[in-house]
Amino acid sequence: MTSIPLTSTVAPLLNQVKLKPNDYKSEVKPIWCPGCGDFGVLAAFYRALSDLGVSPEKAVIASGIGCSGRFPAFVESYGFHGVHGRALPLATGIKMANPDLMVAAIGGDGDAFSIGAGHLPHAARRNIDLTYIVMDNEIYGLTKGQASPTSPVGLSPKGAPYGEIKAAKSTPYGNSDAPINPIVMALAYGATYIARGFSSKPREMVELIKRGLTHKGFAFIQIYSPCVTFFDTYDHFKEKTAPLPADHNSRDKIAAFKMALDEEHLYLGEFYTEDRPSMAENARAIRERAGSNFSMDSLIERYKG
Amino acid sequence: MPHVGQDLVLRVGGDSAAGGIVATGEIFAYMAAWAGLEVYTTRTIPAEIKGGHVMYQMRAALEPLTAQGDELDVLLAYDEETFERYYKMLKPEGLLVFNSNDLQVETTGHRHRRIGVPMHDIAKSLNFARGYNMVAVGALVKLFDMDMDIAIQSVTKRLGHGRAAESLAVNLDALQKGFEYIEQAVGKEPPFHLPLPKEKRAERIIVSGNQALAMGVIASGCRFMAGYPITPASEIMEFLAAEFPHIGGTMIQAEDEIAACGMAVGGSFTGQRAMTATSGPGLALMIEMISHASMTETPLLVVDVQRVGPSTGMPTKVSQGDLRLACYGGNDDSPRFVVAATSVEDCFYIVPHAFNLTELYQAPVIVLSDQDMAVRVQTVAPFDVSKVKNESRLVWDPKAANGAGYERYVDTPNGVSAMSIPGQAGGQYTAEGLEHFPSGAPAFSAELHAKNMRKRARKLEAAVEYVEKNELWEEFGDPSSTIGILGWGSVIGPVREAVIDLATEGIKVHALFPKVIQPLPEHKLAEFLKGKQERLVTEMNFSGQFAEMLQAKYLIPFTHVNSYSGVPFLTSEIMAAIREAHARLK
Repeated sequence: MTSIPLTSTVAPLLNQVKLKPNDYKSEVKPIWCPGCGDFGVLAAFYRALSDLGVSPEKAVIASGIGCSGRFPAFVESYGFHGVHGRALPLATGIKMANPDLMVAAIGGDGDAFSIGAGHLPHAARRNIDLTYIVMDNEIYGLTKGQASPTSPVGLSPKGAPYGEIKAAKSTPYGNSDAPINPIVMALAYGATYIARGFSSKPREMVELIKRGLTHKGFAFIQIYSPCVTFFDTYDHFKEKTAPLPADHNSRDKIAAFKMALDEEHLYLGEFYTEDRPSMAENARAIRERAGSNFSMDSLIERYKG
Repeated sequence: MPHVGQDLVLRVGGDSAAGGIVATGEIFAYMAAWAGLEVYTTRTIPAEIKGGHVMYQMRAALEPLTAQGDELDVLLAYDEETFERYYKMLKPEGLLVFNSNDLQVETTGHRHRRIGVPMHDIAKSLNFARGYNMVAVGALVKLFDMDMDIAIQSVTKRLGHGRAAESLAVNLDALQKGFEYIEQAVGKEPPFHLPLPKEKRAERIIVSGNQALAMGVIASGCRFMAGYPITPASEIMEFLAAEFPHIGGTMIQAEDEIAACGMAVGGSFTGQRAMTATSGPGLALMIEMISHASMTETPLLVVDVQRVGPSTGMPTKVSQGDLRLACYGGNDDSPRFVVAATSVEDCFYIVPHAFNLTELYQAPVIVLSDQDMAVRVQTVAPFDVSKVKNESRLVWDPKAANGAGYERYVDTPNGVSAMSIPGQAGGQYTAEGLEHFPSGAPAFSAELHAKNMRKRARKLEAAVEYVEKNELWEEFGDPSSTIGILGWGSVIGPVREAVIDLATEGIKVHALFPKVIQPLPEHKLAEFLKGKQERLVTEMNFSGQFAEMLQAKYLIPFTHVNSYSGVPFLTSEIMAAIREAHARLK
């Protein structure tokens, strides 16, 4: 019978091939609207795989539903386009059943922080060795423009506190629900790599994704990825985002919280990182403790008189 | 099959806050099993942690048992509620053993014998007030004239685990004191003998349905499980959590049922045999993911240990109410297999077949068990692992492909396409929950969708061959009878007993219990239904879910024989329904 191998380091998955970013493009053409921020994230992802030299057959991307859900099909790798909000459980199953794969999960703000929000704390506390990229456009795109859990207060079809709004059909009198702060959430849940990117900053994004993919444990990357069709926030993010100060210590959790809570700037970069045993390493330790003294006959024997 | 006088039914009851009721029953069950008897137990427990009435029943005989037994030979009552609830079930010649410290028994007009044991006084004299149940066990050992060595062995097995030696010692003291009390108070001749075997009998193991099922999972080569706690399925997860690490397997306790199912799907996607186990409310949550596995053609095994619903219903009571959800739950047609275990023993043997169905045909399979079968311990023949034949899924072979591009969902005569496993170069694809081209890329054309619907459905048609080749059903009784009785799952036990008992009265019945409900063994069923004038369908649900499926399929009426109270069928109830059918034929 096949037992599940347990290696948890990503090192063997690196520098396996020399492929250009374009070689990671699949034959399926993206369905996203022209100008969508997700194109930038996809290009950065191709570049990250290329820089790391990952074999296409060793990479698996799991997704939920929404514009982000289509992401795996556009990458020349294995993919799983799942159901709404469930990218993390699927990715967890994939990684734990075969830790020799490089696993990423992709979500949008609705997929990751509404329907799928119950999975984020658990992926973080388990420190499952995968990279979760959430493309945050602060609106529901594929269902045509309703408020999302990261939409600003006041978002309505007639206007928004920032960005050009063309929908927000579910909040005709203005959104009154406060937006959640994904970085603060990830910090509170115990994610061991936490970063934020912006789809208009491709080089920085590539570095963050590479750090995530090579990080041992759960990497959470929020990427501002504006929706040009329903809530165009390019100018807003260009104006409000700023790199984390050079002296930010990403090993200091309290400092990371402070930077994530800053209302003047939307900081970009690596907020926090820590070393903690990954889920696969913990599973290996349990196996070593349990020992491999097992046979079906002895199991049945236990139930005799 | 045992008849009156050949078997013994013992029921013990009390308040769960006082504790020790299930322990009493289990210790006695182990004792009877080790003495060489066949044992069949059933129990009801409250859904609360502490408080509420608990009942444990054990039936023991020399012959294999398939039902719990209708009337009681012995009732052990720790409290008044137990006495009030059950004394009318005692046979006239039965024996009531009661805790005479707590219970004053007045049963004018009842002939059964009564023996009061001051259980609390005896326990207190040992400075071990909680040990009154051990006093009761000791008393029963003497009353049944059983071997004290076996009793000590049984108590040690049940209580010895991780317990301090002193604690075990006081329990054994209490056992001894109960024994001595009966010796002195009742005299040398015990009022009851268990029908103990005279010669050494074939070896037996004593297991529950959940334990048998988990062993079946291991024997099937499955090494990946994700679960979420739910009564009465949790034991499967706990069992695999303990055993998997020894054999390189992984069990993840997920954050909810949806996650558990998603992890199993993810695990299976990588080529592993993967599963989850739940009960009705959890199955309801998993349905979206099961439909997705159907659409993406990902093997997936989901065990549903059914309990009473709707909603959270009665978590500790038995039902077969999830058949319709299992077969049809989901948006649009999402083909999947539905397999029903018929007995504790079958819980082991059916799982490899269920895995074979999901692996061979790349569609999800739901394995239906139920609360009664899952928690009941019973003696069965030790499992024969050599009977397990594990089939592999059709994996894409890059060498044979000869450089041709890989298409995950290419159409084939039986609907099954070769699956590429992550890590295989050239086999990259995206498992797609949207309608898709053979490549896996999303596609929404009318023609393609219609074609794919037929492809996915064809797997069910093709799998009939597997079901019939492996004879995944149980058939008994008299094939020439014009009375046919059908059913699924654990109802087979009391039906089997009823059919045998009625044969002694001259009423012939022919019975068929498919172990795969979707797809049904069509040829077998057609053959069975031929010449049947009375067709009964027995099941533990309100509306007759299986009966309605059969009616819809065969366009002939079936008589619904339903029990939906949360307790298993009594053999007498099945017999009454058959007698009615017999009378109609005259």
